[in-house]
Amino acid sequence: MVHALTEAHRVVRQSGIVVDYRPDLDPGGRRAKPLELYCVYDGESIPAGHMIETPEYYGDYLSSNRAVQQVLRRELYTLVSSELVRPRVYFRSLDILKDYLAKQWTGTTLSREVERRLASLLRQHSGAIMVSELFRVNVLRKV
Amino acid sequence: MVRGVRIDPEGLETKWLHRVLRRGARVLEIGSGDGRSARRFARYVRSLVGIDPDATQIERAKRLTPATLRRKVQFEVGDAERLRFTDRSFDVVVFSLSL
Repeated sequence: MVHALTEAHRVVRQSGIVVDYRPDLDPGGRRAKPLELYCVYDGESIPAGHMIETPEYYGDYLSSNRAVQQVLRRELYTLVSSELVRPRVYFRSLDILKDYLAKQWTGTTLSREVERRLASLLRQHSGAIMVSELFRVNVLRKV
Repeated sequence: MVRGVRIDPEGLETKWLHRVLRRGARVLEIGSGDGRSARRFARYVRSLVGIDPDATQIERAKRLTPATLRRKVQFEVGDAERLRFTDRSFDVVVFSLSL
């Protein structure tokens, strides 16, 4: 990760920008807030619980935090800003969400309890599923 | 693009770009995946190269990119730790969930 930031430093122009965009973590290495699930319908959203991530998934991002701190200490970059954004992903059905978890979000699982609650909410409201995740955007400037 | 899945339709992922990108910027996106972000970034930049170690994703990115964007947005297989580009060839480098 430090190598990747060093390579980025080489290919970006003087005073150029490097953006690091990824899920947010708190200082203890856990996500600041887990991926939240909602049933959404007619402009309404009902909380249905949250996903479970594997420790390895967190571990990778914790290493990334360390890499950013290291290149800042080496004064390759200065930190211009660090902010949070919360994009959303919508799934038309529970089956589509489960298929997506199996193929794309492999570091994330759905507990049986949350799956049951989602299924029940979707039956009641004929809605869709919304997943909300907190991301951090670090903006670094090449020194 | 997966049928039945809409990722960030509100465009929150790209709102921060307004503050970071100058119009006319040359951008390298590391971890471009299937090119979803790159196609969104394209409207703000002069040129964009997306790299990803996964050849299947790169092929998908090329396939999904409309002909109107292909001169501006390019994709190739690449390793973030061994970039083939010359020194100081980009204004902005974006690590998309890839650091």
